[in-house]
Amino acid sequence: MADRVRLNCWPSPDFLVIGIQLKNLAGQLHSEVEELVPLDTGYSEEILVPYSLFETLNLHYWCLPEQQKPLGTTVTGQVIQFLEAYAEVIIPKTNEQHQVIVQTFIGNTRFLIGRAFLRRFKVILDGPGGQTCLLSPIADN
Amino acid sequence: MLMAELPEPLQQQFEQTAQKLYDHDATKRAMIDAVELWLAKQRKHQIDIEADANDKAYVKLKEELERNYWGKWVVIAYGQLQGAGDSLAEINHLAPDAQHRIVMQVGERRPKEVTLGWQIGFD
Repeated sequence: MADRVRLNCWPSPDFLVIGIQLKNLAGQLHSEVEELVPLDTGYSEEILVPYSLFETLNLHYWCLPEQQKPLGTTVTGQVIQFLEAYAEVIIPKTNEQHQVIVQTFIGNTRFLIGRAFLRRFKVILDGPGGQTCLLSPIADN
Repeated sequence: MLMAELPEPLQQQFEQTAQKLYDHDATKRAMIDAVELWLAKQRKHQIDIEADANDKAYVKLKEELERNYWGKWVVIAYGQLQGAGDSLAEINHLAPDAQHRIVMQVGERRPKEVTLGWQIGFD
């Protein structure tokens, strides 16, 4: 079993962020380079994307059934019905690709990483260092 | 080249508004904006029509899917089951011209409620 790890870090003095690219299942990337996306540990699901990005990546083509769409309530009491679709998240720095279910809702402009995505990783929130890091195991030869 | 004659009051209002908003190529840029908006509206309309048909089809098919396709990946498009497979990659090519599809693994549980972080709300 691998016991050595590599740290991949993103400097993030103001927000805790990870650099990702979002890709639809036809191979279209949302950006040619990684985008620093904030972690929101209060958000229970995987990835929240701006509604405009959901449309740009044509994620209506990989939608989950409306009957299963979950609801959420904001801190101000607004009830949100989410749209959900399959997509892929690429982390260029670690050379990883993960199939995810992304969510959005009409009017959303936030791009966030939630707890369900973070469960796939060991994450270091390095406050004094002003950075967020992922720990990746190094395979023993 | 595309040529069309607009009603005179509409053309005047369009040109005057474009001149106020753009410092050069005003009419051309406003026309491009207008066409892009119109196309986006039509596309959204088509997506809504297909989404409605697919969601109704899913409700009708739900029991059959759970009985015969448990654990399989399926695609619903144009209001019909298009096919099933053992992986998402296997069924991803189905209904290539659809604007909206339902893609799912039958039996996959989704949360009924999402817990939101403090950052999420309407801007």
